[in-house]
Amino acid sequence: MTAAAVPRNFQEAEMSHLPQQLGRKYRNTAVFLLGITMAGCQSTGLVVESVNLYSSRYGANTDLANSIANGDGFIRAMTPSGSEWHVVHRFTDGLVWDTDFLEKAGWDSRNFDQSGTAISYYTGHGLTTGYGENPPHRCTSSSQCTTPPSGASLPGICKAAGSTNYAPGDTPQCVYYSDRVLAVNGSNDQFSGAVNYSAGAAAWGESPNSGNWRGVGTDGGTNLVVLDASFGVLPTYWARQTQAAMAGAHMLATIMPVTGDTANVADRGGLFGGSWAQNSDGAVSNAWLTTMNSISGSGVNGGGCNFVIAFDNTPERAQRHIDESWNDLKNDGWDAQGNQFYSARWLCNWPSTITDRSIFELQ
Amino acid sequence: MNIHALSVALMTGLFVAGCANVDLPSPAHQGPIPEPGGGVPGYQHGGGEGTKFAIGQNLRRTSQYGYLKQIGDEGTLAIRYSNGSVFGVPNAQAASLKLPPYGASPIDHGRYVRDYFVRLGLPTDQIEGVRNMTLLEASGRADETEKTIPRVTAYYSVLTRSVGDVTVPDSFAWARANSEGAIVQEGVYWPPLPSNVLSDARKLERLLVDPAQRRVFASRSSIDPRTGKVAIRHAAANEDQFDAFASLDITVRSSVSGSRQRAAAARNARVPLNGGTTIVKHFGIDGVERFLPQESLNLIATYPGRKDVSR
Repeated sequence: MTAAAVPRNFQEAEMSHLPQQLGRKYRNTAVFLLGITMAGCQSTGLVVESVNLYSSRYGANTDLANSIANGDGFIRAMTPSGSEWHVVHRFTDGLVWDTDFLEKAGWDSRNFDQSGTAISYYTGHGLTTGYGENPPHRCTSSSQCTTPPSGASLPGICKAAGSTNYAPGDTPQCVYYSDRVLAVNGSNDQFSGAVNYSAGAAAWGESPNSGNWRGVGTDGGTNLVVLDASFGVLPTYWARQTQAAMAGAHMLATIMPVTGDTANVADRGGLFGGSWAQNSDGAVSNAWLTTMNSISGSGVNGGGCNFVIAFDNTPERAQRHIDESWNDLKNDGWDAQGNQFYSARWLCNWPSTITDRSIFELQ
Repeated sequence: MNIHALSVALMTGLFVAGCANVDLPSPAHQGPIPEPGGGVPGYQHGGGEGTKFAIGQNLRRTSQYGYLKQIGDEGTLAIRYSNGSVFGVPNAQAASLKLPPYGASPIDHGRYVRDYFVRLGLPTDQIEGVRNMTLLEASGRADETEKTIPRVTAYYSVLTRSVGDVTVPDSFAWARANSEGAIVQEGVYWPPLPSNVLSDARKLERLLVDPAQRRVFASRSSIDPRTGKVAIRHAAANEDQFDAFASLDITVRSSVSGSRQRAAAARNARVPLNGGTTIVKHFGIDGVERFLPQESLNLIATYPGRKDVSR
């Protein structure tokens, strides 16, 4: 039985036990109250945080041009007349604070992860961190990758690139693990504008439905986190870089550059939201992935992939999340109850026929 | 600015239908779209004639959120009233999604998708190329006690557009086909283009090879035009307001790094910062920066910025 079916079956069971003599009036009242209860299990809020202005903190040539238009394109696509979605927060530039995304003192539950939110969308910079060696360590196998640069750590992998079936624009080189970090430039930042979402300080989606398995209470509630930023995840660390941030959210969507980086474009958010308007029974993961096909140059310079990952306490539940439609996404009854298993999808901007080994790593 | 013949037809149809209180308008005819001013013809997809989109049974039509929709048991074909862009979106559980990709290779898939659109009327002389994308899936334990190898589950083939030798990067016709040859998902936006954009693009090309013109352009724009690429840009598929212009596209990079990386970079200029995000800026023939409609969007008036410090 699916969880989505639980309230429906509960309702049917309850109704079947109502004494007939209660009459239509009470039955209708009961149906109404149950309807209210079920409606309360639906999240339809949108939180969008967009940053263009960085130079006051990071110096020249660090500003972006399209983040606000991108975030607003998402809002506009999701909120046409008659829409079921509504805006909870729209923060831009200096009003996007690092604390908005972090769990401590319930900061995120008043901002990026507010209860009643279905989708939390960040668009802006991701921090460049230690990754490859200098000079690049060319390799043929991950076993050769043992000397991480400053800011990175083991394990290292031999990132595949450059030849047929692999990401274009580079040759294989050793790369290493580093936590992923959003970069904001808020007027009230407490952590120098850095939002590390790999190390445990960020926890998104915890709710009464998910439970407190992540140990951060139940005061959050977003169901989908979108990180439209540089270096959202990096091959092949997708699970480790995102697992800690998932505290009940159904999915996380981002971009995984392989040989290039995310392009700061104005239409990714609108194309993503537009997919809901086209077919609300369509898969949310599919909608995010295929924005790549409609964006000039795919939205990634060099080789890269749009990426979605779902976590839960069983493989079946993780798989169900990755297949969720927009209608399913609203259902808080399906909030993740653990993060022990994941299911992930990529749409990568190059052709590959590899079936017997990793497309991302020379093992 | 030139208005799409298609959107006029769609909007007129809707208006008439609304006034007459009759059924929804029929979708515009599938095939080439002439450009009334002698410009570049476009292509309209999804009129229900010949599309292989796996929409399923029990078809019905509706109008919703700015789209004329044909809805079946397996998916929806949605045509945007304002600009004619079309998206065929499968339901999350559609049977068509479960089948492996068409053909023995991405090249097979790309050829099949190209033929599909050409057969329906997409102008072959405007096809710049076919870009094949790979859909992968993986699942496993999050602690990765055993490393999971992603598996290929589908291909998407994207037809890119050019007019003459000038690229039109905002146009697309893409599809995913399964092993039965059904189109699992598709998206098309290939609008007609007004005649002046091509002539302006030619002027930009001439400018690039003329040192005197380059100097004038550089003085107006503060950029070196030799770093740019001539393109015809137009509004995105999700934009209701159409605009198109010839552009010298300049790609700039922007990245932010942590303090350790910045310090390392200061010590050694060779420290790689792993790229950085890119932004494409557009400059018109007059050297003035231009913006596409989607790049100018700002909803500050609708959602005024407010935040209490206690947050």
